[in-house]
Amino acid sequence: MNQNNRDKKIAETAAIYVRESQLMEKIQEVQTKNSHSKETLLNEYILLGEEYGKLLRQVIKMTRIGDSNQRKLFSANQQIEKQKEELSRAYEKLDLISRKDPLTQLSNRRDFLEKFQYEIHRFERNGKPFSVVLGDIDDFKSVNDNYGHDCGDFVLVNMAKILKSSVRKQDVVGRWGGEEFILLLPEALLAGGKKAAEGIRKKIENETFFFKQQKIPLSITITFGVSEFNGTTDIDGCIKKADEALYAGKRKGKNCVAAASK
Amino acid sequence: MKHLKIEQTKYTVRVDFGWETGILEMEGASYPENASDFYQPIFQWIKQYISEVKKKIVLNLKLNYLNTSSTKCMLDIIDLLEDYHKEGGEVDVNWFYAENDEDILETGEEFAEDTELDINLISYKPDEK
Repeated sequence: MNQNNRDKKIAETAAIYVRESQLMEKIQEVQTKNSHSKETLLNEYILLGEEYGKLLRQVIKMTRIGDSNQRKLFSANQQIEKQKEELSRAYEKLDLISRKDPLTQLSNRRDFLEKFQYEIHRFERNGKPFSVVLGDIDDFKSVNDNYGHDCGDFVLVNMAKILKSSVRKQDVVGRWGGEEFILLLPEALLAGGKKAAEGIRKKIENETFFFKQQKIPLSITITFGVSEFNGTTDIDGCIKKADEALYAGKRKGKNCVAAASK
Repeated sequence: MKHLKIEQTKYTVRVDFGWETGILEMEGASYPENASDFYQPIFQWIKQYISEVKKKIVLNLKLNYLNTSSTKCMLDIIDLLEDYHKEGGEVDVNWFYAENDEDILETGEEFAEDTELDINLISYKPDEK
């Protein structure tokens, strides 16, 4: 607070004590004039005593009320801090939920694309290309049509578990939509991406999906399309290339891995 | 003299003083930039009412926060009414507090203590107007 503001504040506070100030001036005037009689001085003394008593009572009350209000402010502040913490936790939870696919708990599109963008920034710094793998469960429609949507969901959840358990810690696995999954493999070149996808494809081919409400085990396969991000295209272009490779793989007979050209 | 009406703000109380009714209401939180400026017209109004109308005064206070300057002004108002009461004027003071607000109840008790005025402490549910 600068001096002017401080002076202004002092004057504002003094203004609420104007009655007491006037009384003080009067008393000083009486004290400096020796001409007053003893009786006048006694009366002034009594008046001063009364006013002093009144002011003291006010000061005591103000102190107690001030303390009480400080407690109130402190308690309100604590309440605000608590609410801020709760809000922060709720926000974190919401942020997490908004990044997860509710069925498979994999990254959703938003989260995957954010991580893709982050990987592009890394590429811009270190120049190391990386792979994107797009997978589509073969003939998934027939699973839903023949065994129902619960069975379809069961396949999706288990597919997510297999994908998640088959990749490295730094890889990102997302649900791209419907029965489509997407992988981001940092620092894996096209050949590396293709090799990783082939390993997962075989794992799925050999896996038995046994839906408890059905008596027969299901054979599920997946087709992968792989592309490499090396700075020649953007996010959309890279995913499009993986998608085109995927559909080339589908045309070739499914249950295979197809790589896009660099 | 007319009805004294001051709208409530974030920093100042709502004031509604009826010249005809003698009902004086103050509600809200009080921590004005300049307490003297804010409370001066209120003092003047009460002084004039006491000297001209000389009828019963009912002061209804529904406050939830008072800074120190406002507390001093409020104590001066109570003193003013106490002087009126000592001279034969009829004064009722009602101190309303939210039922879970112990601090404001305590503040009301402080106001009520050591005064010849009857200050009634009345609780209300916070959502009641």
